[in-house]
Amino acid sequence: MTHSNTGSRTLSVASLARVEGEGGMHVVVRDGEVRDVELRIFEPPRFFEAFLRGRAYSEVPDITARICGICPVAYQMSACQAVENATGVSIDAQVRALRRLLYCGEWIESHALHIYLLHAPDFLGYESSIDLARDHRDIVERGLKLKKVGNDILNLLGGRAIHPVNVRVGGFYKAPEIADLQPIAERLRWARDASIATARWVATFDFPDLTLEGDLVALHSEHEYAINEGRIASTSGLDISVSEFSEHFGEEHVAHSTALHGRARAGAFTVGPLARYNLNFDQLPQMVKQVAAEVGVGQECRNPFQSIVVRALETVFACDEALRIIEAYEPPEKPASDIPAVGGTGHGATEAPRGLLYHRYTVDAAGIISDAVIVPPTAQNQPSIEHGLRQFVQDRLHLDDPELTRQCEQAIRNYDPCISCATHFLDLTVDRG
Amino acid sequence: MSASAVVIGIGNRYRRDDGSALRVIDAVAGRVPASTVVLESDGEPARLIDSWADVPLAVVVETVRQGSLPGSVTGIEWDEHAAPAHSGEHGSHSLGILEAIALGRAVGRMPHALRIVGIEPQDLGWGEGLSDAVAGSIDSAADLVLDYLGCTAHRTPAQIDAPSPIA
Repeated sequence: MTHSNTGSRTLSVASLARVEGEGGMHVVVRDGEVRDVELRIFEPPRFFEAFLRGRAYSEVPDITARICGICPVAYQMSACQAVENATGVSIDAQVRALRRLLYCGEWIESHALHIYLLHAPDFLGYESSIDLARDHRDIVERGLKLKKVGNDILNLLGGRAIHPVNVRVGGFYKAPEIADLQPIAERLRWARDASIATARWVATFDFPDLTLEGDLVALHSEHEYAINEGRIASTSGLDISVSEFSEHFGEEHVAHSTALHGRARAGAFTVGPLARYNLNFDQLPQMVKQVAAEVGVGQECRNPFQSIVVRALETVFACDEALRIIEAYEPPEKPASDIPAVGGTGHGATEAPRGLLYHRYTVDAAGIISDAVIVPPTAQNQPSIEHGLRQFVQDRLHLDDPELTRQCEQAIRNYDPCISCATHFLDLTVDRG
Repeated sequence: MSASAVVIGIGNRYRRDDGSALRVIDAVAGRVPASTVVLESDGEPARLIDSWADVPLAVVVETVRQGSLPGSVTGIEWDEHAAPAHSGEHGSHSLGILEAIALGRAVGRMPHALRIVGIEPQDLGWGEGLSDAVAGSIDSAADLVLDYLGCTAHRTPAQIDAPSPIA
């Protein structure tokens, strides 16, 4: 802890030097009242937008996969969709199913990582998953094994788990045979049971009272729990096509962050598992609804701390959906659709584990990208996180700085922002006047 | 055939010198025994643990900030009795090698032997390509990896720091 000559008190949370993202939070308190909360998040998509200009559309999946090590599939899928939309390409139904299967793998892996290694230790009072593992090795081993099932789906369909190399615009370089998928099916049955056990476990945690205000925004489909396609819907009644995204949502620069902040025409909004769950509960399989009822989560859930339960329910769903896809799978005639040499502007949006991820590309007839826009979920959630933290911090000003930092980290992790990957990610500055 | 060794490069090719470890594994690929697996990693601990659990030898290459001259190459021999979380070695990743070691130990999923090859970065900004100092150290780091694998025939005469155990 240091005291600056401006009277602010600075807490430096010990952490490893970060590359994937960096986080900081500055709180201004005057006369016992929180006047301002600024969350600083450093995000890579801005670099990639510039980097993609002048590149061939065929390079997009490989380049965008490197934006995030935890959700490369999300970036690849939104990117591919945008290019396919720009060039007017339609996708074979089985290729579409394989993409959904690949995405299920990413949801399983990302949600298991977040639940077991990042968020559960917060709720249980452990410094980290390492300490949790020392006392509850069997639980952490279950989490690691569950995560590995998702990891192995990425390996199988993507060619490798990080930065998958088998994904291309139009589909895949190589589609699996039916027999290739069978070994993973047996493990998915175990993973589905393990996910149900996970939901029962996390539902026993103590959840601070907090209500997520404002609009919740997610993809929505009448036919399925939306992952990799749908219309953009909100709890306030928004119902637009993905191509209308920019007309309703924007980003703006703020002085305290290199990340653009999401802004909706209709006001503050949040994307992510809670948004998906509230908007798409009807599309969940009956089995998942039964588990939700058993663990005490209703059709509506606006406590952000219960997002850990919703992530567990989504993991149950992802395992079940992956099994359904494998059982119905027939190899496509061609692993990928041909991409015609036409230019245009296209839009793509999919549900990354942490929320709606929008891409827009303009491609010329030679297949070169002239413009790229990437709107990640963390940027969209940033104003909502800050807004929620104001009251959260206000109610906890009596805490000393280390405990306030710990609780703020837990609250921010509700949103699973890219920066949350570190065990301790937050440099908190409290200016108490 | 189960792997006799795994070489894991941790990094990001679009983050300047953070891509140095991946350049090292590019350099050693094809020069290692057939039973050695060469992998790229973003440093996420659970995947690291899966990659190295119960393998006889794991060699991890990573950007490591120790305050030494950019391009310095350091070999670290992990000692299972050491307390790596307090080693003072800071990897460049949010979820990195130290957490992976600690978590791997907690759940009993470690390699039989672990060697870390650290490269001191100069520039971790966004972009492609290594700084000159780090680019000049790739061969030395690759030689050290090959030394650990017992492939000394491929050694180049570059000068490197002597391997040292984690304190």
